[in-house]
Amino acid sequence: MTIVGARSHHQTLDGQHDTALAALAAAGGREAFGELIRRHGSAVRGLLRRMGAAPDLADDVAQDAFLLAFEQIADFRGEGAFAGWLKRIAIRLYLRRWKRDRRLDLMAQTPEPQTADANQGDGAAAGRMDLDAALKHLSPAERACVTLCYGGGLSHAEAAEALNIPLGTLKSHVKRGLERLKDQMAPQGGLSVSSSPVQAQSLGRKTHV
Amino acid sequence: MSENGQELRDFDAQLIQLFDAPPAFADADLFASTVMQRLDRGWQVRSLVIGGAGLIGGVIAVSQIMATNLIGKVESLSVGAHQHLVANLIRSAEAHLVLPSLPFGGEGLWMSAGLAGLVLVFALTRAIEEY
Repeated sequence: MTIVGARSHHQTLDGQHDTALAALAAAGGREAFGELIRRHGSAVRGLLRRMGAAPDLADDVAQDAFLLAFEQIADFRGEGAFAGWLKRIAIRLYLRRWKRDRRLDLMAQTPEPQTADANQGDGAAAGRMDLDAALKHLSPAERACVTLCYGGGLSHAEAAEALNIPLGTLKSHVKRGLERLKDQMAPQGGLSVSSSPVQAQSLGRKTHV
Repeated sequence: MSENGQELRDFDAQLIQLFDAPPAFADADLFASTVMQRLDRGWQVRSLVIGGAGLIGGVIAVSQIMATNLIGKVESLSVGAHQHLVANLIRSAEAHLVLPSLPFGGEGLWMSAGLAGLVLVFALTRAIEEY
């Protein structure tokens, strides 16, 4: 293929919907899968880091997730968003590593009643903080639970099952995590995280049942 | 709805928006090319493993055949059978008016069978590689 041909081919892929690209990839189209990696690589890497994975580990798991996704791409029927399907693969792989390291044992512990957080002072001093910085102030369990439900698109029940913890424990982690996030992100009392109007459809997502 | 409840819903929705926005990575292109390289490498390794396994299997099969002197036994067994087979083939060919024109001998038959076997193995290897 000539350079011009390759460029126009890439532009053709650029305008394709994820589902169409996945179908092409399922038929052996590696360039189509490459386009999917370019589109969703940062989202998967970001999700894993937000769950608490170290950057190297997050990238490693994200790569494995894409390789596994390519092997299983024929299973993607386009019933949901490709990004969601991909994120679930990445979450499953990451949690498998957690289980291997027995870190999930920590998750099963019911959170203690909330006390004054030493980090809250830092948050107030720093003023408005972004999400990634705020997440660092959560415990590993809170961070994983909040990210699974809000970033991974899992319902509370699905997240509890994925983490192998009781639903009530998960809800406690999410509740405490949200409170901490709110404190960190809006130290002056007002919500400073919004930059655009909330879309009505976001309110209807199943993560908040 | 209470003011506190509305505030929580707003925060919920804003949080979803923030989670939906992936962080920007300076090495995003490098990440994509690394995954593609791993994909290609995996494909090459798979091909090599299948090819290697086929080669090893072939060598073992040939060595086993040589060790049991199968060819000698087949030759001795087929001395009579060969003449019988060729005679039958010629009769059959004459009946169907196809084979008499072909330069067929006993060796040709064995070679054809061997080649057919090789083609079958090759086709099987390709099929395994594809699926």
